[in-house]
Amino acid sequence: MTRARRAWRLLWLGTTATLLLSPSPAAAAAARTNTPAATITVGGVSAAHPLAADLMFFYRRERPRAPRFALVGGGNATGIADVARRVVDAAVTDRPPDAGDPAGLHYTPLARSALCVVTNPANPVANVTPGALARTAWAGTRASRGTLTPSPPTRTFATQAQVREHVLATAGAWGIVEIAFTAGLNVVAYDGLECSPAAPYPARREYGVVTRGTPRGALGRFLRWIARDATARRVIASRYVVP
Amino acid sequence: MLAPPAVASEVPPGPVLELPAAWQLSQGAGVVVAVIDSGTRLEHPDLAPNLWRNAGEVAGNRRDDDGNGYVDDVHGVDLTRRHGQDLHDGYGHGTHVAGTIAAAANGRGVIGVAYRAKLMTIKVLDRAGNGNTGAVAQGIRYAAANGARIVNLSVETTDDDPRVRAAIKAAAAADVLIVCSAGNGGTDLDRSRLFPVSIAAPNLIGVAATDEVDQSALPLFSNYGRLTVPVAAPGVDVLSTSRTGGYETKSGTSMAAPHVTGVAALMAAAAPQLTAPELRGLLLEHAVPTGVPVGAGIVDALRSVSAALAARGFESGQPPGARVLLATRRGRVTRVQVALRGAIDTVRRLAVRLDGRLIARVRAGRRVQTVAWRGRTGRRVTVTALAADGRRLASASARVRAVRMQ
Repeated sequence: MTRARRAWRLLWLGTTATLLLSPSPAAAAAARTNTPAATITVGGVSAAHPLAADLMFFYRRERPRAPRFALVGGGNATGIADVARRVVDAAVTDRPPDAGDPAGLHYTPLARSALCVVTNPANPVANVTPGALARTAWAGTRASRGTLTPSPPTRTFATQAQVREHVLATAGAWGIVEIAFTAGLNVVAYDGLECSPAAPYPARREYGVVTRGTPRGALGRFLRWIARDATARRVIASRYVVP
Repeated sequence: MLAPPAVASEVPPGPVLELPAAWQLSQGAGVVVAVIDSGTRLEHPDLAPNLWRNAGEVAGNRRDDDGNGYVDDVHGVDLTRRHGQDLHDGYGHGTHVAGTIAAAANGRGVIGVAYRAKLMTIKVLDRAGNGNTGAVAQGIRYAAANGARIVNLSVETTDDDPRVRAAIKAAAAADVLIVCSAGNGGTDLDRSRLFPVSIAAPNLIGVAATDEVDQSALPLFSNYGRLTVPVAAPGVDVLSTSRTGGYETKSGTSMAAPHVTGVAALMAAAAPQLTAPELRGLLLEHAVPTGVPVGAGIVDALRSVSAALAARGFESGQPPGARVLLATRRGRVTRVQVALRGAIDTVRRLAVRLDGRLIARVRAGRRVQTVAWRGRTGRRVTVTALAADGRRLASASARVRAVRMQ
């Protein structure tokens, strides 16, 4: 409180900087610029950016008059706030809007996924408990036969595909990948639950697109293409589970 | 790998930004930061080494040597007067802000967040701390036209001036990130509006202040808002450069914004290919949530710079686009400013036409370019971006507006 009072005092003494601007009567010299081509600006979680970028690429390839896209990130909270404030047209999020978010937002499911613990097929670990997993590092830690052991060295990879290749090629390795990358690997149950994008598996994810109201116009066409087009479904299935 | 500067005799910025580690990755070199404020104490020993210098302008000859529309704008521009330049700070606010952003690592005084960035001074506030929104709009356009990547705007007003909105939009096309203070009213900006921080733009970040001791609480003076104000930074008892040539502490969101400006400059230096909205997105996504009532959290330099280094940038892989930012005629001189976006390295030349007649073909190379000529006048200018083989990659046009001669 003392600090706050001191800050207030500083403020009133004028040492802080609340500077008041008034509108100028002078005319601005700016030219009226032309209207740029339509751009759909998409914010949200960067984890889903590769998927979004691929969908945008294939949409533009299939639709000659498709709009331009800008993918700007910002995370879940910023993405949803930016949609509500019209800073961006849409946000890719890993959760639907909840009661704490602004009203009037619309959520279009995009892809489902789950994070799975995987081991090399030569090391068929059946189950891992939450306690055991909490005691280990998250990626690439070696597994001894039948158990997951937090033994160094750990490895960090940039992509899911790299984790999968490493675990597949290394008999003692284990890792955590999205469910779409588990082919050929031994998938470990978590606390007795099989890895699945459906409840009650706890480490499931759902990516979706948040918009202000029902998406219309160019954005609506893009999202309808994602929902219906075979190419879009193949792009989603390359990383996630099609909803 | 560059080491962080010795801090034994210098005071680094607030402890929460993870700056010493971030300085291992970037110090802001090569990035121009515009401070739109009350001017700068140019000869301050912590600021003089980092002043931006307009290479095309000769000091004191009373001529517009580089043809950018401003006379003798060597270190920036004074928009508080109609003629001449007086960038000196009569109020003390701009000098303090500038020091937080880019005070030099010179073994004395303080160190700025981006201590190798260059400071462009744009003076819009007089010695009483008053100014007008028209000058702010003009200052934003000046910064974008003259190479600034980041603009610090530690000012506030209740007037929603469309010229400021238009200038921020034009700055977005020129890839300029605007960092604004949230204001010192202690109010929720999701319920009331204050400008420019309440302007919704993908190249604008509003900054609240945090207490230097309790990072999970805002000081009473700081505005906030989970939708409108995405990030917070230290803003209480901030030590920085003073207009008298020494050092002083100030409090306010005006002092918080330059911390974020500095971090954005570090990011822009580390990843020059990122657009302003991409910089904003990475900075906000890697802020640290602490319970303060802002959208993303407290700015974290290390996480933000690391993310910028790892990011490839979506926009640089997109087809080229063009936009005319400015098309003006002053007397017999016509000046056109065009911004390119997308894969600009594929654009080799720009063809400029006035009412359909070819005026000039110029070599492309920068994201924002200005073309000026004397003599031929017209009503509508068209700029076409051409590939090496002459293919048309993008085009934009705008009506030429006549402006009053000074």
